Amino acid sequence: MVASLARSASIWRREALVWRHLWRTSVLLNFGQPVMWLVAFGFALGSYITLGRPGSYLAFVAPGLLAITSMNIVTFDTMFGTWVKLHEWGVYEAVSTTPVSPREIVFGTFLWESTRAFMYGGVFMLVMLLLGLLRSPWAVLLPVLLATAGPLFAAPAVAWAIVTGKSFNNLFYYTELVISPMFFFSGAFFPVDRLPQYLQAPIWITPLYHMVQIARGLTLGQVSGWLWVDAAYLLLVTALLTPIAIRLLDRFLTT
Amino acid sequence: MTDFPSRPSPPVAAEGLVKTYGDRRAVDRIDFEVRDGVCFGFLGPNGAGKTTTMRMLYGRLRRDSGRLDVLGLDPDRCRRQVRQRLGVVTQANDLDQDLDVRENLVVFAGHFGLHGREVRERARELLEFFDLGGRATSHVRDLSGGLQRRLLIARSLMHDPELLVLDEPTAGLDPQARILVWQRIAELRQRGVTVVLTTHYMEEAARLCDEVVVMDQGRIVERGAPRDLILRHAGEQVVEVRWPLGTPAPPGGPEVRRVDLLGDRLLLFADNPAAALGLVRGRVDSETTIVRPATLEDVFIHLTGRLLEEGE
Repeated sequence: MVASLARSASIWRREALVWRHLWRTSVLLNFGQPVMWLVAFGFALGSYITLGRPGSYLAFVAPGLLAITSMNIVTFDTMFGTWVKLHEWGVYEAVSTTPVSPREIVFGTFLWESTRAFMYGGVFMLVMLLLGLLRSPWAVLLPVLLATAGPLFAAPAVAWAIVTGKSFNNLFYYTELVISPMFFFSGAFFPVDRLPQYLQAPIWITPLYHMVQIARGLTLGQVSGWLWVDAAYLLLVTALLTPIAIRLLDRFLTT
Repeated sequence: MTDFPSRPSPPVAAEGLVKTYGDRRAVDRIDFEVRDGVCFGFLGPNGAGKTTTMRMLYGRLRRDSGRLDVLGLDPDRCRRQVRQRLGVVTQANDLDQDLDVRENLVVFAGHFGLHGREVRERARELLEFFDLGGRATSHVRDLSGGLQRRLLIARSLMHDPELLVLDEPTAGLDPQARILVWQRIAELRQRGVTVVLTTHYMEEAARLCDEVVVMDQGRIVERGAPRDLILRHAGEQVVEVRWPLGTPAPPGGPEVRRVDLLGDRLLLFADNPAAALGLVRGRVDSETTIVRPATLEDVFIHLTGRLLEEGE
């Protein structure tokens, strides 16, 4: 168990070392974008919007953007990174000559992606703090939420990078057909409770919706028992997707 | 790179090993045994089944049938334990392009559970050994093909493996780079590391290997020490002459062991070259006639009727 964790940590370490070489561009791209959204949606667009509920649109949209940030931070890095490591450079081919197993590779990836979500989401939280958008003490739990984004969004991204095969362009099906709709329709930008029922059901299924609900609840201090349901759903999705990612990688690396 | 006490079982033993892709038998019931401390070579053209065999050794491919023992373990069942004690250099350059030279070594050692000052010291030693000492912080992609190959071998030695598996260690290298790699492998062998390698360079096998098996279309067609194989199948000397295309080869005689015609080259295998030349006197241009020692290449041509590098 401890040895297995150490082997996953070794995968984590590889990613951390690579990040150390590239962090300047990485920070610029991954941190600049959500802040830009916050300005565009929160300040600019927000000044035209009234929600029909107390509080500014900026305060409403900021936790949604935090959840989106954690999704994007994890998804793009994992999907492109895994694809390159598998199909281009044979990094995992080399790892498969060592005692590190496919399961440990996947868990190592989870660890690293949690770290990333934690780091970049943390910086975004700092911006929220400076803008006075983190008012509830419940916000101290937000980092935990960020960390759960690691496995939750990394598992499907790993799986897709494997299934997609040698064709790089196929990767974009996932970002266009899964990530983009979640981005727009998960309640980050508008409350979904006033949408017609037939739209609410598919939205309820997306993990990002529940992530947004928890982030908003903790940020605004609107905490109820429903947040447990949201959290349980996130864990369920993670628990379902993780074995799929492991199985696919195992089949890729042992034939 | 320490000396190991002699083990009761050989480092590698295979019996009736089979691997099938679809309906093609890549490895077809092969038997072999690698004894402790030797350099053991798999020779053969592309597609002969060498790489498939190597991949079964470290559990990358599951065998279909047969028995396989690596360091006393079944690599399909005890994948992790086998890999912990094995150093592997695959055919493809799978260095980590995002890391520098030293990081490649240190991160890889981490995969074996090794950390700290010992690892850094070991990396320094190995970089020194492979003449990469000045390149520790270089980007991998700035290294030449020969240097990358040496780094790959250095990486496979970080955890001090008992058995080294090298799949075409010098493929694609220029002659100078190849000779440097050969020297290092020979030194490792002298230090007691058991080496299993594949190659389709006959000179490589002749220089490095104590024992070779010749593979063709998934089977082992011959085995033995390189020198013995040459004497058995080709004799001491070969007379090589240019022979007009379309002309039938002259019949052999007591002067030659065998006559082979390969395109426009006629090969006369003879222990006495002068007598062999008598067979073709007057029919060939003496300026293009070569007398040379027989090589493993000749053995391979004899065994399979094909040139090695031609493949299937």
